[in-house]
Amino acid sequence: MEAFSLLMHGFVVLLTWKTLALMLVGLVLGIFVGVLPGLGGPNGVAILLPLTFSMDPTSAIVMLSCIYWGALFGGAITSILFNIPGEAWSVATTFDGYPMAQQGKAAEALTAAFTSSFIGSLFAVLLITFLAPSIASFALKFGPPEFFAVYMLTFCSFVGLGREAKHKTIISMAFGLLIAGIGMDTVSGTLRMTFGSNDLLRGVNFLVAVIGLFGISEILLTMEERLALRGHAARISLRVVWSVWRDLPKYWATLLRSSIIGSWLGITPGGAIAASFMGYNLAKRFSKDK
Amino acid sequence: MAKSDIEIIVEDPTAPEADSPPVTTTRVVEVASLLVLLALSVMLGFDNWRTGISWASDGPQAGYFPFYLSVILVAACLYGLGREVVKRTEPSDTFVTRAQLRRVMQVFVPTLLFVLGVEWLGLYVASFLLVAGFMWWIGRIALWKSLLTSFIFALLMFLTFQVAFDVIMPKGPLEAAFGF
Repeated sequence: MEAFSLLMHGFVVLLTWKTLALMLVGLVLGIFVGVLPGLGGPNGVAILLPLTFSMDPTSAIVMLSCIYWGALFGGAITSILFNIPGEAWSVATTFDGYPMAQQGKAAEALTAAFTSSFIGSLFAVLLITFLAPSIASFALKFGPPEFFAVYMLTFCSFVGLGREAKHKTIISMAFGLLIAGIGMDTVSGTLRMTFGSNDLLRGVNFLVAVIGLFGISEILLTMEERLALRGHAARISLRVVWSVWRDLPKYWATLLRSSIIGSWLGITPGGAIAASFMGYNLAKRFSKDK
Repeated sequence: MAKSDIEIIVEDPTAPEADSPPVTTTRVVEVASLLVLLALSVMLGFDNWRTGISWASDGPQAGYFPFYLSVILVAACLYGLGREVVKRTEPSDTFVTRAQLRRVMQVFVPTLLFVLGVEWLGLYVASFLLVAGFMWWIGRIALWKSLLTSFIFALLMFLTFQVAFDVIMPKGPLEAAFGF
């Protein structure tokens, strides 16, 4: 029960006007970022990170996680209304979401999307709260050999499970690790791969690498394509939200199944993309009306 | 009431034409990037070898781990190049057409100039020029609107980062003239 009281303590910390206001700001910013094509949760968090520089840690975490959640919901908006998934894991949302919008049921689809992602995240948070102590005590036993083994397994699964040509995956990983190795060696303090440059002493900043490799390349890729949009307007009213919420308990099995899949693939290196497709496929298989 | 029978249609008048002639094939780009990576990994591998790749009394020397990474990178690049040589008779996809390349360059060249501009003019002046230039030259928006919007944008960025949050960004002569 200690975990439960800690969870409640967390809610006490959160339920102040200041944090609630920060949540609102974070969610609105996140939805903006998520709706913009080519910018998703991680990019949004990276871009808006400077906003939190002068905040205390709790407010900063609240703000950043709200930006992330807002961006996820923003991704669902474009998937359902425009058939454009902002991120790879909202592709599964377009399969049924866009047809629903075409039938004039966009508001229902949006309500179902945000309610079910709320239920899924609540499930994951509860799971983490109650399992974290045992995971933490397990994690404390981890030493360098175990960490090496875990990373080895992860990198091998990238090579084995990735759909790209295997040598390209190996090139990307080796290149990334090499970039991370630039600068001062943390063990011996020797400089490596700096070629006498003072700017490279501290290595290559992770944010710089991520924004350069993903952000800018995504923008350039978008420019290559036709930017024409074809979408549907939607208006959400409380009545639609209520009617969807009345129907949702009927789908408790789908919600539970998808929550379990998501939590399991979140713990293992499978990740959100695999989980979203797996959840969709299982829901389709168990569904009575196909 | 849910009312979603209104359709929103946004056309893209400057979209690249579909029948534009191809500039290069995927194979050429792939071989070129493999060669660049190969040269880079040989260079980094040499530097790590110079730093020391053996095992000292207190553990691996600084170049030990990156050296073997460079070896892996060289091997993977050679494998990729060999694969392209074997498949050289098969036709390759178009990597980019001329119209697409023009559109990408319209964004890429100003971005590059922006990065150079940050060095000389500072972030705020450079982003003022970037936003104004984009709106006026590519977006074909009236000059005064472009200048006004980008001025407000740059000013807001300055107030957010410099004044409110004390985040140090690259600054140039203009900020120095105002005493920042």
